[in-house]
Amino acid sequence: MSALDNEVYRLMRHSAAMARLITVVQELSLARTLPGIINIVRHAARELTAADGATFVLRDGDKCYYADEDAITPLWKGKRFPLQGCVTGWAMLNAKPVLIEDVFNDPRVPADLYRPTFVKSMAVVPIRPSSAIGAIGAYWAEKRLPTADELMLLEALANTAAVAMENAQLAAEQREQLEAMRSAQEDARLALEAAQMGRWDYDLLAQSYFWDARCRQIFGVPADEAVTRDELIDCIIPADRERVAFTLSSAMSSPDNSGIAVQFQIFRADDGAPRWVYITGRTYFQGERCVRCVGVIEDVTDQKRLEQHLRLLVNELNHRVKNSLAVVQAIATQTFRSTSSHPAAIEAFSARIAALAKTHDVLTEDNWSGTDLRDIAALIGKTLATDSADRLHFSGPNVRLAPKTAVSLSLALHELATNAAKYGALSNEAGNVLLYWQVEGLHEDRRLFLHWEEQGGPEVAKPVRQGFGLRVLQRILPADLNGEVNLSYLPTGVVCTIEAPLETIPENNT
Amino acid sequence: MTQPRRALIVEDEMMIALTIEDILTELGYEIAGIATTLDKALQAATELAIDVAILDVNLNGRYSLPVADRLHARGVPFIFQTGYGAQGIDVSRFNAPVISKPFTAEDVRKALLAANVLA
Repeated sequence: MSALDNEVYRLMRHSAAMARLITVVQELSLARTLPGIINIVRHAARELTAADGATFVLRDGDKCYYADEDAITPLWKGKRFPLQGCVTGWAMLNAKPVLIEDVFNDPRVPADLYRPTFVKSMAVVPIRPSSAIGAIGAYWAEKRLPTADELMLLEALANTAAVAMENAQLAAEQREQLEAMRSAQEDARLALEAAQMGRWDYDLLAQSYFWDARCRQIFGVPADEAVTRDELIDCIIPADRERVAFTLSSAMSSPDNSGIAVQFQIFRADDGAPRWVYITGRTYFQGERCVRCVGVIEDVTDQKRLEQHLRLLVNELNHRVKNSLAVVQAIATQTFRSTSSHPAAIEAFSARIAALAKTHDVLTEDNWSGTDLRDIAALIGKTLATDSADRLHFSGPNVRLAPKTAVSLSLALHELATNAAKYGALSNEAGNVLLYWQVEGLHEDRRLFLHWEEQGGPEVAKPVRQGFGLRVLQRILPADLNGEVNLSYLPTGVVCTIEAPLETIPENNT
Repeated sequence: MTQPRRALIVEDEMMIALTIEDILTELGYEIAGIATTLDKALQAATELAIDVAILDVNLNGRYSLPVADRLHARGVPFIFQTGYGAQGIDVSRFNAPVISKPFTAEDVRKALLAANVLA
């Protein structure tokens, strides 16, 4: 062939290769996964350079990984070699293409690896030379220097592959994020479904309400209709509307107050059934402006009914207990009346039963969860005659007492007050009773110190007989409170001090 | 004259414990101790020299059955007393007399008789 023929042949081959390169670029632009890219590139590299083999090599730390190949006889597919001591490694580390005319006459070639193969000459281009992520190799079975055209085509292929690989990486990350988001959404949906909660979302900017199927079911609104604010407000019973509106508007008016938790009654839109619902959520702000309000709704009708039923039971039980006490009182009064018993004994008995019943009342108000010492002290004042009650001065911090402690203390204070009214500081017109208490220590080490002191009464003397009052103070109270009681008959009046550990009982938050 | 028999009272309500104390004293018993909690009752049932025990079934919400087991193991006879009605906890396996609150001195006397430990 003449030189001109050679040049014409070269140009024809070159333009055919360029046309092929364009389709490869198109294919690569559509590839979204690494295996897809490798598959396109290994064939294209061999085809474009009319080589006898092509490899696609990935950088894997300090190794070259021969990911795939297209060759007349097998090369190194699936193998890993150190970057140092491997031609593709050299190309990646030096960010330069490598052209080798004779593989057995180049110090960069590990000849032992090439001897079993067909390779006599080769070209390698790094992918993304600035920080190589791989390389493309082309191999020939004859000794020849790869041409400038071949090198150009390989470099164009490597550049396109680099862009495609970055895209594939981004696509993979997006898929992962999307998957994570879907799974988080699914988890949240399952949790809400299990809790039988409905999810709502109010977009204040778009003025749109999102209500999921469960919300709609709870409120009895159709599944496919848009929900309006008025429609929902209409469901709320009139007595609760203002409270709900206030809770929502205060959450929407300040970022410092963004939590929503409100329980109210509705009449279900479809069948008018009365239901209790509990809404929790929070508001989101852009600057000072509330833009979104998100939360859940729960139908708490069953809990509410149970609660009301329990309340009813406690009230009923208290009623019955008090009735029983009244019957006991009546039986005792009538039994003793027909005997020679002292009327004062009957009176004392009745008063004690009455004190017990009143303590029960106070405890029932808080569902028998406990009561405050102040309420017990106030109760004592109420049982005294008005002029005596004015002379009972009590003060002390709020102290929550367990029901049993409250009953014991109440009975003991009743005995002290009755005794004071009969014989002590409240039996004349000048005496006073000081009742004060304090709490020392923290948490489970808290101790109650209570002090009863009579002043200005007639001179008192130690009683000769141990009556009921003394028994209550000296035996029952110490045992029930697990504490100590000291009773002194000072000439100035009775002084009683009580010291006991305080049980930790939860504050009542109703 | 023989030594008076010794009784242990297990009852969380001190007011009732004192009433039982009166009844037993009247019947000629000596009170070995009053236990108002399960822990104290277990200790008393283990350590005290006693001839009989009166056992409240419910001690501040805890059943006194471990105390019954311990007394049973020592061969000390005992009487259950309970505020529960028929639907209360079953104590029949102990084969001990049961009196229900509120009870009279006569109820206690009969139960002691049934337990064969009347002073």
